[in-house]
Amino acid sequence: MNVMIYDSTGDKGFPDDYSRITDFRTLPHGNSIVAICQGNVVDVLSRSLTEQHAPRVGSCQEWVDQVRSGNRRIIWPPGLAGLAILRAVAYAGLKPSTLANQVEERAPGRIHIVSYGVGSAEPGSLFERRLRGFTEAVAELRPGSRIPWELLEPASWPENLVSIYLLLKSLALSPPDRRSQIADVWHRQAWRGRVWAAALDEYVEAVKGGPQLWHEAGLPEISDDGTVLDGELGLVLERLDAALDAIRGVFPSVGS
Amino acid sequence: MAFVVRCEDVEPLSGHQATRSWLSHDWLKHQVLHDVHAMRRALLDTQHDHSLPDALVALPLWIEEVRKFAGELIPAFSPRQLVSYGPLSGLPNEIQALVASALDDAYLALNVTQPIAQRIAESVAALESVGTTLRAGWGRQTGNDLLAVQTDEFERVARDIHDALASLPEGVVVP
Repeated sequence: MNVMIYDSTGDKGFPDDYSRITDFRTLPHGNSIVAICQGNVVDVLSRSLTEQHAPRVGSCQEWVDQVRSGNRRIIWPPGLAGLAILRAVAYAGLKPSTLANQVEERAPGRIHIVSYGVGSAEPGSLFERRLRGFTEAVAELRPGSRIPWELLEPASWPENLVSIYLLLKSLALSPPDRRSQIADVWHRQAWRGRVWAAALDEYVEAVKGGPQLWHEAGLPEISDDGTVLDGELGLVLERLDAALDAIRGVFPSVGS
Repeated sequence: MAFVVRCEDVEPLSGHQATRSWLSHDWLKHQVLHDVHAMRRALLDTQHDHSLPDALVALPLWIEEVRKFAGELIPAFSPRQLVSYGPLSGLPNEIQALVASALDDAYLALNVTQPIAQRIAESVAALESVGTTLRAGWGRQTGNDLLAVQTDEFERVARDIHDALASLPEGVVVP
């Protein structure tokens, strides 16, 4: 399979080596994938997936409702395997994002709404790098394969590990009375064990190793059932700099 | 020493990053830097079309946009937003506020984004100034050679804003 671009406004600067199309119905048979840049999302859906003479709809919600009620059929052009829609705004402007999910659910695995705003697809831009990776992966696929839309999305970030770092850093930065106040409230949170356990998983993933460095830095033991020792921050605070250094080391640095 | 967290799904960072791309690509590259050479040629051509070029017509609106962007730039990269987004959002509000405040103070002390915001603000003021000169003088019969020299400054300042936008961190700055 391969990727084709429909750039309706021409202002995203897609690299010239990506193919371009103007009409989905002219796609060659044999399943290609189309990534669509910018433009009115309703127009994109109507032009690509709806009966040729179906009446126009005014919004994506209306399109979804009509498809859901059976008043509008989705018809995929023979050469179209899937459709990614993006704009300069997150979820192609389909807010709330549940509306984007509703559109995707009308054709599971075949429609993908890019979750972030794409300002540019020029060579060297973040989106262009993702698109290149996506294109290379798709080139290896056979018709009917699952489309790896996740390659167009940002890599997930280790939010539990970052949150633990932020908590520890705020303790390091706070005067003693405020430090105690933050730690006391943290220790009363029943969910904190889950955050520690997830943070350890994210740390192990980031360092591509085992939990030894975590423990050497004084970060707490987490039991198999995801619980931590009561008052765990007291022990971590004894070696706070080592704990902060260990976590900081898995991220790209900035500044001096 | 600080590090960067590339969390493109977190607002206000994600909206800010999209605006950065838009300013850099749609405005600076495809309008200002694209038009400036034609502007210079037109000024040196006595038969030139006197209608104001797009880059000058739209300049006041873009100046307003980039000023707004620069004004919101420093908080957009603060770790404060991660406190109310991730697991720490489960803490009581007053504790979140303490954590966020400590992190925000440390982020500001790093002085990573302030010089870039300052550089953009100064370059925008310079662009506005030279743009005003070009707009006022465009279409006159005399002084076009002097006005053509101003396009060099117009281009230089636009490139400086472009470079400043490119130098912004790729994610939230964590102290």
